[in-house]
Amino acid sequence: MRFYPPQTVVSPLTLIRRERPLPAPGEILVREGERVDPVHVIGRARVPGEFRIVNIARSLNIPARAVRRYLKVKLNQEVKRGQVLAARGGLVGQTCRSPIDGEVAAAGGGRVIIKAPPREVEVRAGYYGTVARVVPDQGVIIQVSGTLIQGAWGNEQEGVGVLRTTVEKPEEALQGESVNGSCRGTILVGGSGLDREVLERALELQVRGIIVGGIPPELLEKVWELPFPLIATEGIGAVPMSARIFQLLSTHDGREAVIDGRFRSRLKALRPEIIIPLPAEPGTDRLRFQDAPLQVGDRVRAVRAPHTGVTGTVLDLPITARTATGARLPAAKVQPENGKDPLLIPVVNLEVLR
Amino acid sequence: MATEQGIGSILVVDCGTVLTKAVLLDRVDGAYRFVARGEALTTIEPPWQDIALGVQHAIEQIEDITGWVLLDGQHRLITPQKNGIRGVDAMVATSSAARPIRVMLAGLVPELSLASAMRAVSGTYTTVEGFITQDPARGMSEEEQVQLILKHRPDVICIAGGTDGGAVIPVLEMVRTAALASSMMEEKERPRLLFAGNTALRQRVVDIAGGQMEVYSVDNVRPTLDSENPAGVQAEMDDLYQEQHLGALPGVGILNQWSSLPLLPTATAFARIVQYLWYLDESPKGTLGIDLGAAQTTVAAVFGGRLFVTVRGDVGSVYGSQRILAKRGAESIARWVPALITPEEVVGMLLNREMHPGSIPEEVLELRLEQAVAREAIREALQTARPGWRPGSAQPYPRLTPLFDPILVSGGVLSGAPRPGQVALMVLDAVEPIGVSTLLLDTHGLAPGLGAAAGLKPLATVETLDGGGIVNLATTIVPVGTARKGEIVLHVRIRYQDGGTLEVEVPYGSLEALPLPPGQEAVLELRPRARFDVGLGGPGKGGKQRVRGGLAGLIVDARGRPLQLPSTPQERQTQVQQWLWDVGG
Repeated sequence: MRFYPPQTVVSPLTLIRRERPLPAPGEILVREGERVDPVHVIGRARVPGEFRIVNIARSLNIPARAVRRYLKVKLNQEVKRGQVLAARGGLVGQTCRSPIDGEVAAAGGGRVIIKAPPREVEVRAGYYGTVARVVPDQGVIIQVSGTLIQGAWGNEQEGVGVLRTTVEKPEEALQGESVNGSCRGTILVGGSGLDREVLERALELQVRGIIVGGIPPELLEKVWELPFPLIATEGIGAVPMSARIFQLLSTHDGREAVIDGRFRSRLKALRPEIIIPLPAEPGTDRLRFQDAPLQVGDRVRAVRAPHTGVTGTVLDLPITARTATGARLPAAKVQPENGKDPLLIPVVNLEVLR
Repeated sequence: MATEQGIGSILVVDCGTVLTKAVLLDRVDGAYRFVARGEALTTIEPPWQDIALGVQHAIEQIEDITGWVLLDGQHRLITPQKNGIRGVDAMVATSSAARPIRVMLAGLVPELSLASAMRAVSGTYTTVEGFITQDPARGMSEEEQVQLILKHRPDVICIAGGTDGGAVIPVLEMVRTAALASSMMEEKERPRLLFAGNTALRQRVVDIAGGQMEVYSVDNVRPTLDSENPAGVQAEMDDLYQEQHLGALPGVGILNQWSSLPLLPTATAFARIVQYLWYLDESPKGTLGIDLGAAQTTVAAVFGGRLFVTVRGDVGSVYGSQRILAKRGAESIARWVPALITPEEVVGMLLNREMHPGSIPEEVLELRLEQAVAREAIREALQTARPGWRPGSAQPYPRLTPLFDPILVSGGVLSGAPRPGQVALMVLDAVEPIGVSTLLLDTHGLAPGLGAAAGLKPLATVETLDGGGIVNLATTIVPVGTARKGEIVLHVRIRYQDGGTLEVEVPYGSLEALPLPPGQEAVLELRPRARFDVGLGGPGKGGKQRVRGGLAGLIVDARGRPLQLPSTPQERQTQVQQWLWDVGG
C-alpha cells in the first residue's frame, strides 16, 4: 500500500528563495541581481499611524447632515493638535478641536477622522544572497545558496549570528556552565534541550539565537519572552537533536546562519528554519518537490514518542505493528543512523527527510 | 458521467483539515455496500499546495487494497466505470479544509440580537473574532470599536439589532462604525457587511456603507423580542464558505471536474445523515451527531424533525486544543488522564501534536491525553450548541442532556481508538446522555460522504447505512437520580436471542459493561427504583425495550448526572482508570 508522509527539508546545499515583503506598499531600493546581506535595506514603506475619530455632530449638537456647514477644515488638510475642526456660532459658541497632529483623512456621518502622519519603516534583506525578483512597491524575493534545515517549533523571532556548537553529542543537553563569554553574540547549538540557567545566561550575553532538539515544556512561557529566536528541531520535551541535523550544524560551527523561528503557514506546515549561506557549487539547484510514496531506502525521521527524533533508513514496508496502546497500524522497518537495532515505526509517525 | 439511474459504483471523498478519506461504494448482491477505504494527508499546505494530490493518494490506497483501477496514467479519475473493476460511475466530495470565515458580530443587546447572531453563525464554518455592541455597560467608544475591527481584519461584519420596525439610530450607528473602519483598510482587505437587523433599514444601510464595503441584507435574525430566525444568516455564510473559501482551495478545480456534485461543506453533509437517522423512526427523543475533526467540531441535533447544526471552527482534536487550554485550562484536560501529568506536560504534548497532526500516539499516556482533549472538545462544542436547541419533550431535565437515540460519533480520534470501550467512555463522559441510547460509530469516516451521496443517489446512502457502513458501538443505559454510593438504583434483565437471560442489580456510582456483541439483539427489562428515571416515562417507570448489540456491548452508567469527578488528583486518576477498566478500555 502506498503512503505519502510529510516531508522535512534537511539539505546540505541547495538554492533557497524567500520573500521579503514590505508591510505596506512602498519603495523598493534594490535591483534584480544585486547582492545583499542581512542588514541591507531592500525597501521602505510608510505604515499608517494612529487615528482619532471626532464626532462633530455630537459635540456641536447638530444633525450629521448639517456638519459640513460648520467644518473649518477640508479633506486631506494637515491639522495641528488643538486646531479648530468645526465651530458653531451663536450666543454660546461651540468648537471642536483636533486631538492630535495629523491630516483630515475622512469626513462623513457627522464625524471627522484625523490620521497621525505615517511612520516610515525600513525592511532589511535578512539573508545573504541575491535579489532574484523585485515585485514593484510590494517587496523582493531573495535567493540564497546554502544549507537549509527545517525545525519543528520556534518562538516566532528571527535573527542572524555565528553558529557555536556547545555540546559534543546530540543527546547532550545545553548546560548553563557552557554558556560563557565566548558565546556573546553567537547562535548556540545545543543537543537535547536546555534549562532555565541557559536562558538567563543567554540573555546576559545577548546571544543571537538558540537551536536545540527540544524545549522543556515548563520553559515555554519564558521562551516566548526571549528577544532572540529559539528553534527546537524536534519538538517540545527533552528530545535529542536528530543526528543528521546535529552533524550539519556542527560541521558549520563558526559560520554565520540565519534562523527564523516563525511558522509561515496556517497549519504550521511551513516551519521554522535555519539557513547557513554557502557558496553555490556547479549544479546547485532549488529543491524540487517530489510527490512520491514512501519507499525502501528513504531517509526518515520518527516524530512521536518513544522514538521522537530518531533518523534512519527504511528497510521494509508495510509491516503491521502493534503499539503499546494496542493499536495495529501499518509500519515501516527503519534502520537508525546510530547503528542500533532496526525499529518498527508506524508510517503515520514518520516524515521523509529531503 | 453516468445518469442517476445508471450509477453503480460511487467514490465518496472527504477532505478534512489534516486527513483526506476516500471510500468506495458499490452494489453487492443488489444493494450498496462499503467496499474499501483509503486515507492520506490533506495536501492544501506546502509543499503540495494542491488538494487533489491528497485525494489521489487516498484513492491509490483503495487501488492497492482492492486491485480496482480508479486512476489513469495521468492520475485522473476514470469515470464512468468500464470493463469490470476499472473506474467509478460517480464521485461526490465534501470538505472542511478551508479556513473558516472570520466574523465580527455587532448587535444592540448582548442577550438578544447579539446572542441570536452568535447562535446563527455558530451553525456555519466561522470563528467569531470579536463583538461590537451598543450596550452602554460595555462602554466601548466608537474609536475603540474601529480599532477592534482594524485589529481583527474580519472577513465579515455581521450586524444584528432592532426588531422589525424597531430601533433605528443605534443600528445605523453600528453600520457607520463598520463603514468607517472599512474605509481605513486597503480595498482588497475590506470585510463584507452582512446586515441581519431591522429590515426597514436595509436601504439606509446600503446608503451608508455601500460605498465602502459589499453589503448583503438577510432576514432579521431577531425579528421580534421572542423569536429568532437564523436561516438567512446561515444561508449567506454557507454560500460564502462554499464559494469563497472552499472554492479557493488550491487544486479544487480538479475535484470539481471529477465530482458529480459541487463540493459540499462537511458539516452540511454530516448533518444530513443525522437528520436521516431521526427520520428512520421519528422518535420522540432527539438524534445527535458529533463529528470531531482535527480543527473543528460539528454538532448536529434533531428534535421533532427540526435540525440544529453547530460548527465550532476553532475547536478540534488537534488544532483546537490551544483554544481549550486558553478557555478551560490544562487542568480541564488533565482531569481525564488516569496518570500524573503536569499542566506544562499537557501543553508540551499538545504542541507536539499540532506539529505532527497526522501522527498517532504510540504510548499510552499520549493516547489518554488525546482522548482527554476529545472529551473537552466535544463538551465545549455542546456548550455552544445547547442554547440553540428546541428539544421540547425530549428534555425532561433542563440542566441535563436531552434524551437522544441514536447518538452518532465520527472523527479520527474516536474511530481510531484502539478499543471500543474507550470510544464509548469518551462519549459517555463528554455527552453525558441520559436514558437508553444507541451509540453509533462512524468507523470508516463515511458519514459526511454518505450525506453528500444522498444528493446524488439516495439509495446508496440508505443501503450503505443499513448494510453496516456505520457500526453499533454500544447501547447505554443511564438512570437519572441521586442516591448514596452503592445503593441499588436499577434492576436490569437482559433476555438474549438464544433464550439466555442475565440479571443485574445496578448500584449507584457504578459503571458496568454487559455482554451483547454486534449482530445480536436482546430485550431489556428495566426496573428503576422510585426516584430514578431511565427515560421510560418518568422516575420509577420501567419497561421493556429491544436493543441491538455493539462493539462495546451494553453499558450501564449509574455514575449520576451531571457527572462528578473526585476532587483530589490522586482519587480522580484512580477513578478515571477504574472507569476505563469497567468498560474494557
